Amino acid sequence: MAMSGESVLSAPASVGLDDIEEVMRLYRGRILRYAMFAVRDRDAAETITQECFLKAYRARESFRGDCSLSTWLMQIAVNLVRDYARSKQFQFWRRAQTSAVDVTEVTEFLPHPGASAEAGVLAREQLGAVWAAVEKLSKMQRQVFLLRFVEEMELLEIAEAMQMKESTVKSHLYRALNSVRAKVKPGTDGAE
Amino acid sequence: MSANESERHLTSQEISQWLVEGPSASAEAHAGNCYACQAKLTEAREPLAVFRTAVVAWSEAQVERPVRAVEFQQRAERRAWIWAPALSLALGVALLAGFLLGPKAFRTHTAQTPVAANAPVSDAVLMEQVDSEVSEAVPDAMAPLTDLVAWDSEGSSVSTVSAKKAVKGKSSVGVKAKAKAKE
Repeated sequence: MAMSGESVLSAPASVGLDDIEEVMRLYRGRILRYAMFAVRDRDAAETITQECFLKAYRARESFRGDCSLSTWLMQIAVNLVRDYARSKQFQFWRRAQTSAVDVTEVTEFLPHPGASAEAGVLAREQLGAVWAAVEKLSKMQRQVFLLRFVEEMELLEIAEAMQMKESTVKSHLYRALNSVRAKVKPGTDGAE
Repeated sequence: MSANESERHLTSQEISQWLVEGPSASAEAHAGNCYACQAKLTEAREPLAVFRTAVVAWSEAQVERPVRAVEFQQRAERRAWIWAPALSLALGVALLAGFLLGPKAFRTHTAQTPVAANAPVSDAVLMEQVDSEVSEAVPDAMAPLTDLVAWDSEGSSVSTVSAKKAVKGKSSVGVKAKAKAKE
């Protein structure tokens, strides 16, 4: 997996917050999947995503470009997820888990361009194993894992978005990665 | 970097470090020449890449499709599964009740059929009653006088004179009493 300095999903820096439709088009997927894995509820994730863009648009004057737009949006999303997690509604949804995304649904989106049936089976197995491992991570570990390995954000960006120290991000990330690796390939020592 | 360091295979910790923070110079130098470590790295990266690809593709598809509609559809499907046993049980009970009570209900139904046939008759009676009440010729204010006329007409022929007298303020009762005294 390429971990380049610049996120693969980064949008052009010229996109302004005044053009909220374009901003949404570029970042909605990113915010949605982060929220989805953070709260594990599709409906709540959609609400958080909408709220995130609404907040960003309302506070567009305060965005001075100290960080990238994606980091700023992610920061808003992180705060919204935190607020949501504190609310009673979250407690209810956590119990109900009525609209959580299932791994089988996501498996359908695995690309198989000319891959053999064997490779397809292996990919499905790998996805299932990582998915199961991610589900078992703590909330914080899951979030940093997603920001690093799905959003491909740099450690400093994650620290900024999550409003925590880089060392704390690293700590969560190592634990999360070792848990996932141990689950995907039993026998991995999982030592930090 | 010593020769020993470059010959040493990457540990699991170094592979994790590579994935989290990026490769150290020594690890990168070793992996460049070591197929075993390259395989290890690929083995560690591949599941993460598969996960990322699937999740990103899924979320992009959600952006194109209205999420709430998808969620609604799924909930509806789930709801159908939840209600299916309850509905089948209710249907079973209804069928059983229908089987047990069916003949009785049928008899009751056939017994009620003549009543239904008589309905036009009772309707006609009812309409007659309504007609008679509605088409009362005498206004309410005159009703006490007509009662008196009705009483007078019981014993002998109805006398319009007595009725007129009564209307003038003399009660027919008083007239009758005078007549009896003369006798």
